[in-house]
Amino acid sequence: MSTFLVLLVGALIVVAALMTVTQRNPIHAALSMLIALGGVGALMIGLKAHFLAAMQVLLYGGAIMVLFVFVIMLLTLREDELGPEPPSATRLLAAVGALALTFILFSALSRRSDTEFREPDNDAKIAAAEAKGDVRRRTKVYYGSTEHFARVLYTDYAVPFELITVLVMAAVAGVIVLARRPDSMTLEATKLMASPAASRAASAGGGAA
Amino acid sequence: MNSITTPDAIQIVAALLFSIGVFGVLSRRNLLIILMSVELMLNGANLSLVGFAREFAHLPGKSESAQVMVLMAMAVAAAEVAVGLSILIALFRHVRSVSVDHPQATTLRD
Repeated sequence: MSTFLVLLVGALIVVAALMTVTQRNPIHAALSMLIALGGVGALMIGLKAHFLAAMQVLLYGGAIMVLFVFVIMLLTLREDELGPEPPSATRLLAAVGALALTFILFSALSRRSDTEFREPDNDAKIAAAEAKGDVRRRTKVYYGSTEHFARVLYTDYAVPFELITVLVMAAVAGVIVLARRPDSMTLEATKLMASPAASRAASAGGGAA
Repeated sequence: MNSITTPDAIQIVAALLFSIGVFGVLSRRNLLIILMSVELMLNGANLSLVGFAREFAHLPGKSESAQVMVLMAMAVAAAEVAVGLSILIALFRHVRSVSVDHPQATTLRD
């Protein structure tokens, strides 16, 4: 992957990210973010992280983007509901802070010794085995491929992987508690609302009482 | 342009993405945009991790560990967005605004 290509995709990502944080309309910001996330996915392909690139598209470009767009559509915000933007002095201070952070990160990067991407150790071993004529299909697992990734995930990192399920369960429980209506609509009330006859009977009963 | 190596270019893009996310969190008051900025920051960190994993892949050892870490970060990000957006909906029901500076936004509980 050439440096020029990385910088080209990087420029696209940076412009899309800047549009994300400056757009007033949330749906424009969401679509800009989709471009930035897709660019990161493209860079991941170039970095031989093929499985992660697929996950980036499926999880970020699919699941998380749909969640954002869904909430934007659900709220259908009017102009006054977006709230006022902070004064320009706040924005200026934020820009100064972000630029200072950029400076710190760049100065840390400038102290690195020059490196280049070399052939992964894993792929070099495969090539060496092939050169000796010892080619078995099972051992031809290239770096960053789904099979290679899965071998690491389900052996060395099996416990953290299982713990993720606990996290997701906690998130699901938390979302149900947080997004529930304050007057806690019960299951019976939902059924009453769903069937017109029952709700009519309920309202008649309510009227009589 | 010749002086920039490919690994450095990746790290530069990752650093810029993270900084833009920080700028978004600091400069905006719309909770939706703040959540999107947090996503941008997470993506910057993920890109940096994948870049370093690739950079040290030629050494014997498990540089794939960084890739596993990125997958974990993605799962955490998905959970974080789900909880964050439900908080946003709770806030919107309460004060009819998505601005975190709304005077009543700090009193979510009655």
